[in-house]
Amino acid sequence: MNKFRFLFTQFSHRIIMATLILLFTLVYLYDIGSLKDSQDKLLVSPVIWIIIILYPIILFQEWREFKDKSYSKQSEEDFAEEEDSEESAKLTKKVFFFMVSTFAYLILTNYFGFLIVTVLYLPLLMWILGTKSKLTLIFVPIITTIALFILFDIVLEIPLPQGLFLEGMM
Amino acid sequence: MVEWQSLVDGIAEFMTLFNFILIILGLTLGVVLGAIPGLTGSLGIALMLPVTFTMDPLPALVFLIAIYTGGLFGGAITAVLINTPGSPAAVATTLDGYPMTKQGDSGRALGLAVGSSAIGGLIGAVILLIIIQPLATVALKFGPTEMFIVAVFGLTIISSIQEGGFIKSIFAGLFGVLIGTIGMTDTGAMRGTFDSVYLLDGIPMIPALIGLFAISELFFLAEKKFIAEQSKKQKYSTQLIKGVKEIFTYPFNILRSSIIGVFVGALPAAGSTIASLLSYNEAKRFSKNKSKFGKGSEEGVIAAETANNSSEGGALATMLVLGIPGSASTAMLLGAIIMQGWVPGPRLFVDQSAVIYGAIFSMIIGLILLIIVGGIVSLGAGRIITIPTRILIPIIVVFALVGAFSTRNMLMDAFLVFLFGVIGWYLRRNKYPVIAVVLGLILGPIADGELLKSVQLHGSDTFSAFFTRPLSLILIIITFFGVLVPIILERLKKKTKKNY
Repeated sequence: MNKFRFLFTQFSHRIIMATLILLFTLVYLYDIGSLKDSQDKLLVSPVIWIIIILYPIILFQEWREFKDKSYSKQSEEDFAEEEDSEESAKLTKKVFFFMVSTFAYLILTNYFGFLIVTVLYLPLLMWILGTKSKLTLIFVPIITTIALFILFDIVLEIPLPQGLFLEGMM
Repeated sequence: MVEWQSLVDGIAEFMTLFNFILIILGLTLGVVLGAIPGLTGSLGIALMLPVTFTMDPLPALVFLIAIYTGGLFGGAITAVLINTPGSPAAVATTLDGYPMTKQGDSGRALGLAVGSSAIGGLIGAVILLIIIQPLATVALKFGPTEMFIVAVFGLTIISSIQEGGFIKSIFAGLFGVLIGTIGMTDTGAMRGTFDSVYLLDGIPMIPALIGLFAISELFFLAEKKFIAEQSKKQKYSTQLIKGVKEIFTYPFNILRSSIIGVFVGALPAAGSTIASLLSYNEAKRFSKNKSKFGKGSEEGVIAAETANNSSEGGALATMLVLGIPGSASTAMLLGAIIMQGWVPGPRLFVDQSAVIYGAIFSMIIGLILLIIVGGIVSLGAGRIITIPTRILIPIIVVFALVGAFSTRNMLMDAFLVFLFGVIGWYLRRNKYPVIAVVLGLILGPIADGELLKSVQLHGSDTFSAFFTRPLSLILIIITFFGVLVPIILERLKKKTKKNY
């Protein structure tokens, strides 16, 4: 990747992160605005204001780092090394589908229960992550689901979600 | 001081094969449950409490205390192997334990953890035996002002985090404090809940920790084939034994961490998590190899594990002498005592001294046996990292989500794990230290609650109360010097190096 583009993407993400924290803080500030008793804001208020004060400092710090790195005479080797170290942090297709499938797993568990959805989710995620062996894709999910069911539902007597559609049937 | 006759009677009563079997069973159950993210030794005690109904008082206490001991160590196994603290008390262990695993040193890291857990716990038990009554009495003198300063002292760790720099660490730490203070306040006001009933109790700690540490790490590992390459130079058992032996090269670290652990453990509501975090921080402040902390420092693992296990001694002191449970586990142990028809409180130590001393002695035996039981479980668990990530990750994800669900039987907790996983992943991607958020999350609500209590107690004199109460003043001085002295020493060292 082009060095400038790489650094700019890195810079943008860092700004987004800081801004997300600031937005959360502002929403929190708005929410506690309705509290009448100052005792409820003893610690929270100063914390919020410190975050608001630190935000522009962080922006400045990130900008300076971006500028320094952009104009520095960093060798191609050093840059490639840095790019490599950032590689594992990227939202690759694999990581994206990992996130989406896990989110879908949680939603579906709510409706269809732990047993059915887990038996389907495990091979799907294994396949996303690169498992090709059919035996592994069939047996590992079945064994894991049964082991979890026995441990939680039977040994520890912690009932696993049955799902809204299947509740009472099992 | 020790009542020798009661101690001898207690030891004589304890010395049966049945009690030894109970210790081994309890330790195994505690270690296994402690190692599963979301489950803790407390769950083991809760599950086994009914089993102890029919037992005599001493075997009942021996069994439950063994589960407690095992549970405190168990959290370290997954903390070291997959960056997932099995319980909040193992948060500090992840900081250096997991980097050691990444360097192919997981066997040694687990050896360090099990060895320092046992030694820390032993020192805690011996201190418990010797100064149980004065310790519990001093602990009770800790009011909200003192507890507030203890929490602030813990938060000063944030300033020493190197990842991302000072400003980013503080920013992330304060973000953690805000998340930690969501929920209903002690005065009944709603804060940051946006009218969600689910958030009234605040953000649950276990799902947040599993998400921030474990799930975020799994997102990073998705592109790798294995968590880490295992060291092929030595057998895993040899590495583990090497780790156990290595702890004896850090006697001051062990002693300091044990004392911190026992004392913090004795404070009601402080517990093993704060003990291990404070101890980790102190180990870093006074270490000659500060730069190694967070990158696989043996001293870091030792400090965290020694303190969280020695805190057991302190927690039991407050529970046995004053009848005040400082944690869920000690509350259930107290329940077991009540079930035996005994009344908790200072009289308990007078009326049932032989049984109590017998139980404390069983703790000592349990901690010696922990090296064997913990070592065997660690050997088995150590194989985890040889499994390819394409198979391991899905299994860990499901385990983590179900573990989080099981804490309150709420699917929302599993959603929170996922949400915090994504937050943790994005924070780390942008060089914000996740540990700072976690520290804020753990210590923020404690600081907030204790500050509120201080104001309610002292009114307009709150500020002066911090400086006029002797214990509070001592803690302020310790905090002040705890932050300043290492900075000054570091500067002096640099100056000396420059001159020569």
